[in-house]
Amino acid sequence: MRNDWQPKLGDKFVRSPRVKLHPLRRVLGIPGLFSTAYGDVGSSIYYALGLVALVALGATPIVLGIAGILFVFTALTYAEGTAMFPEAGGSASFARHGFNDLTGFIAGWALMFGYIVTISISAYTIPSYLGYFWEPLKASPIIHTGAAMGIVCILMMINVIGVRESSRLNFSLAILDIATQVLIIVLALLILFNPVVFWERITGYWPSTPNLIFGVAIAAIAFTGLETVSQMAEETRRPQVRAPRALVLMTIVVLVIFAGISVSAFSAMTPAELGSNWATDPVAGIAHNLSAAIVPNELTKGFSEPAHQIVVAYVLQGLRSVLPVLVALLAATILFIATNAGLLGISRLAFSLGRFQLIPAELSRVHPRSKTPYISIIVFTLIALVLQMPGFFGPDVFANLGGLYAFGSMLSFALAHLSILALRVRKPDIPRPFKLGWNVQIGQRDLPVTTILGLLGTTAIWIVVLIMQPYSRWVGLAWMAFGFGMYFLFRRLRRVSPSQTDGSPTGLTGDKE
Amino acid sequence: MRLERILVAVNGKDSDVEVVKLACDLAKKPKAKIFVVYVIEVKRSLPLDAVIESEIRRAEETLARAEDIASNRDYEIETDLIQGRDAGPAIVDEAMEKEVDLILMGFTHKKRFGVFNLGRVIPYVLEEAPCRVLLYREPMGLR
Repeated sequence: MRNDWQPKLGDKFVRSPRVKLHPLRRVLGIPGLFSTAYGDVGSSIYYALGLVALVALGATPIVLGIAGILFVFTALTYAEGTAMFPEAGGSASFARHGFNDLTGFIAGWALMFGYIVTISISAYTIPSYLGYFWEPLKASPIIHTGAAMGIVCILMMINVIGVRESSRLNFSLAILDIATQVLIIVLALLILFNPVVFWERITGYWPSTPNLIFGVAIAAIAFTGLETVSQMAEETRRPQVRAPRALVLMTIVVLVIFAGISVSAFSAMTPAELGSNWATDPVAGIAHNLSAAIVPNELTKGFSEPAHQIVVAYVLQGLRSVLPVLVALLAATILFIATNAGLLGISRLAFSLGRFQLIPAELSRVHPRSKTPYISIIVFTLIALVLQMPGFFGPDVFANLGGLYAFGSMLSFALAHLSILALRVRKPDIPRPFKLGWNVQIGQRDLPVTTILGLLGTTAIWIVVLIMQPYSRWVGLAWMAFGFGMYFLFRRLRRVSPSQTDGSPTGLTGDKE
Repeated sequence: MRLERILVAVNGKDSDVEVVKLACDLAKKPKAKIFVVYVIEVKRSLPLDAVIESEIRRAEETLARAEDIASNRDYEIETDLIQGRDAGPAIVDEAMEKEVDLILMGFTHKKRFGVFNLGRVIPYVLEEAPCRVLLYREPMGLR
């Protein structure tokens, strides 16, 4: 009997309570985890580069490098936390275990904000790439914003109805995405890269100090989706081992690709062009300039054999025509999937928070027919639409969304770092399948240096956003204030202490008929 | 045909009754063990272990009915409730874990866009299951 059947990507199971408490049936492996997370993180390359260049100009590669270091620290912190608590919730889960429900709520609520902004910004970028086919999609603020809002509405309806998505398609797109980006990097390095020009573009367009500092904060958007691995951990077989490995693998790939694409962008155009004409579709800008630089007759001069010249010229001519179309279609598809991933992520997170009574369970209510958490999907989609609305009146919405993302995600990441440190102090004996090295001893406790640095970095960025970005400050603080009001009122009605420590989940949060 | 362990996949439809009866009949002579499984498909917008009351209630009723049918035939069965993103892989995974010799599934005759249609789950199990698969189709007109 053949017995080589292996679960494919997306084949995940869990036993439900029949007679006794259900153990999880986890199937997802490292490739599955990696491709899902890369689909999220990798999509940010299609907008982060332009957004960062808009603020940091010539310092973009440096700023992305600094953010990259911070990303490594945060990924390591998540690796320890996820291995300890392989459950949906990410930083909210770490904070709940490390401190109490209130801290878990703050982390979760901030994370939700990050997800909402991810939905807004991913959808907002799609029309820019599709502008290759119809210019007004990119050029007209009204058509651009209207199209972005339409995309969010379509995804809302799809998710409320609960259309089945193909995990194989996601995996194939992640591979095609990496392959296309590697192709762009290789071609740009071969055809466009000039170290002198590259250096001149960095020094000649060096930003002001406030812009440099704010650029580091904005660069955090390059690493959206770090939470995904943590969220998927509960569906992973041997999450204690596989989640940290997937995080490390994803970190390496993302950093390499981001470095390569940054160099390609600076080889293809000036930082001013990148931050203006191509701010919302930077990879399309690279493809456009690369395509213009591919002159088959010039590039085939090195080949002595006429047959070789003809073949290479044919291939180059094909690349020249195909590359901009491929980038436009691929970027739009990947950003569409990333927007959808944001919607799925936030509804799962809402369900997880509702389970621990951190937000009202009504938000997680499941539709009796479609079996989807329709209330959370509709509510959070509407908020994402509201965040896109300023786009009708001007182009500032793009930078503002970047600031808002930094506000939510940095607060959430800072609390994740703080919680891992607190867990080292308060619960030193808890099993840690993945324990971070490079520790300093403070008192009787070993505290990881990377987590301390991560905490300092993310907190500093959050403060920078708070001080330098009035829009992010007020919108972000309003979001948190609304959340606090809801949390305390809800807890009071439920007669549960707001600062209860590590409460157990409520029995049911599903549909009620 | 060696028959020591049988997996019956039920889904709350009318065909479940006949499928469980058939499993008992097949299992009786070789004294095979019967596992009955119900898979709840959870949408990706929910955590995999989300407790969806109505679905669990329906699954519990279906499995309880299967137990009753088996009990009427003096047979003991083991029941399980699994939550997964897709029923097909969940059934195959269960079959692998339980090392069954046969998967038994029932379905009702149905058409989609005027064409006979087996749905998603049965073709997946037929394609991927390492063991034998036996399908039971309800007579036409019965629902």
